Amino acid sequence: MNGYGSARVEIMDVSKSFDMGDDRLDVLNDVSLDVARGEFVCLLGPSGCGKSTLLRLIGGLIEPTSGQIRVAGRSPTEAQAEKALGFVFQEPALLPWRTVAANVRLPFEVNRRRGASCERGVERLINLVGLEHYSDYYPRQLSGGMRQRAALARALAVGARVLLMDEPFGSLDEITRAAMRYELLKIWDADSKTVIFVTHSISEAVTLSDRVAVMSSRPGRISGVVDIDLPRPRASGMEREPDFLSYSRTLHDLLLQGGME
Amino acid sequence: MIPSERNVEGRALRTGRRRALASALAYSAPPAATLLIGGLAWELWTRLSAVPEYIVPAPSAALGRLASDPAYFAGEGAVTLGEALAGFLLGAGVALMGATLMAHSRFIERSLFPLAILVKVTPVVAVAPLFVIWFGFGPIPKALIAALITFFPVLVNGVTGFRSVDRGALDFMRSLRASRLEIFLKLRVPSAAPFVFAAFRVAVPLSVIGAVVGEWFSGDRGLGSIIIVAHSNLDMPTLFAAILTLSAMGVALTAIVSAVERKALFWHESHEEL
Repeated sequence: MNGYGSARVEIMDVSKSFDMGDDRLDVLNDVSLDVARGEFVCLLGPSGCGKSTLLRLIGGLIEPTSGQIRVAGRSPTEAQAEKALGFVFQEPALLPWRTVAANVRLPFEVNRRRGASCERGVERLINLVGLEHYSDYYPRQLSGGMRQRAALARALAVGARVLLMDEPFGSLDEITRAAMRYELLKIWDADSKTVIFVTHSISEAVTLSDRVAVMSSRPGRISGVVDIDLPRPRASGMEREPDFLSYSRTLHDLLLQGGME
Repeated sequence: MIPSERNVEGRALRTGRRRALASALAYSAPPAATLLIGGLAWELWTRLSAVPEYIVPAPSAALGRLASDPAYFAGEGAVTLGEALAGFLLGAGVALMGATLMAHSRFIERSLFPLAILVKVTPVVAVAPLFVIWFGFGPIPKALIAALITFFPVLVNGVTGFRSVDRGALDFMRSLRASRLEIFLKLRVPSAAPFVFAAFRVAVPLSVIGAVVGEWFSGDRGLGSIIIVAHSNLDMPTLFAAILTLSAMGVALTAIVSAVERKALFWHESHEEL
């Protein structure tokens, strides 16, 4: 919708280890994944399996120890410079001294060398996430769910072609969380981006994804990839369908296997 | 908006204002009363006992001295205030520049911070005579002493503040390839503001101390020098009048810093209404 479209993300034989003094901590070992343009992929795994690290690698916030990552055929750093990446974290991480509108405007303001400066975009994005009556509010005046909507609008700003979401609904209550999933799908339908979504919730992964990459820990790797072949648009109530439950069981088994090894 | 709603809001606003006034009274009335009672007790004591005026003057004598020549005390107060503020601006300015460098480089921090601690642990009173020799009898040594005393609290809070940045917000800025300057201006400076204001609240009264201490050592202007002269003449009413002027100055400066802080940090949880 914003004319920037989506981008393919290729992860090729990526490993990441951190030096801890004399020790080396292997966080990711030989991870490969190819995410198609416009695809919605969840990284599902227990805490400590390196799924957030993988997301930060894709986002160019850290460098892989070995292997390569390509976003639309370019390196993550180049993708950053083009503002092709939209991060959403578990905490909304909005700037508390800026209103919702000013927060969404932030990506337009920084790094002006590239990236269009389109002020109308701010209004459109705020409408897209349903905050049109709250653009002059400060983050602390909003509920947790509304803050996360604002963070989503900010991530979609400018040229984002890939959304990188790190347990974005993790700190919300169960009811808001469920509502936000369908809200996100609606936005994704309207503003089709490639989405890579980190979660440890099986039902969240099944609800959202085209594909789920199940990860296991120590060192983190992808232990299986499951296609979620459920019809779209997905709607509340699908959690009780037999297909949904069977996918949940498959993912559950894969997660358990990973944990047992 | 429908009229009834506006009425309700208007009424809410009015009761809000009345409530604000009431709460301002609730906060200022008790200390004012305490001050008044204390002053009266002091006055009564000096009149009933035979304590000589060159030891403890009655508050009325001090206030009378103040009222007898307000222009004198205001003028000398303005000298002290000017030195203190110049020193504060210099000290806080250098401290914030230093904090900016230190927040960006551990190496610079390691090189400069021990020196800053050295400056802090050396008593200002001990260097003051030296400043007189170097910088003469004018306002400059006083402002420099005020700057020296202001420097450290602002530096420490500045470094902490510039580093106390929300991780997610920082990651987000980085994911857009924001420059260091952009991250500094749009993220670090506002994040540091609560810390820096806390330092200002300490540093502004300190700068007045610095100016007064400086005036003790040299020169014939300012409230500090009034105190020294009055002291050697055992002119207690004048000495107390100078002290009262300094207290009033301190209260006013603190109130100004607090007011600016409230305006600037409206978004911060320390200013959340209880």
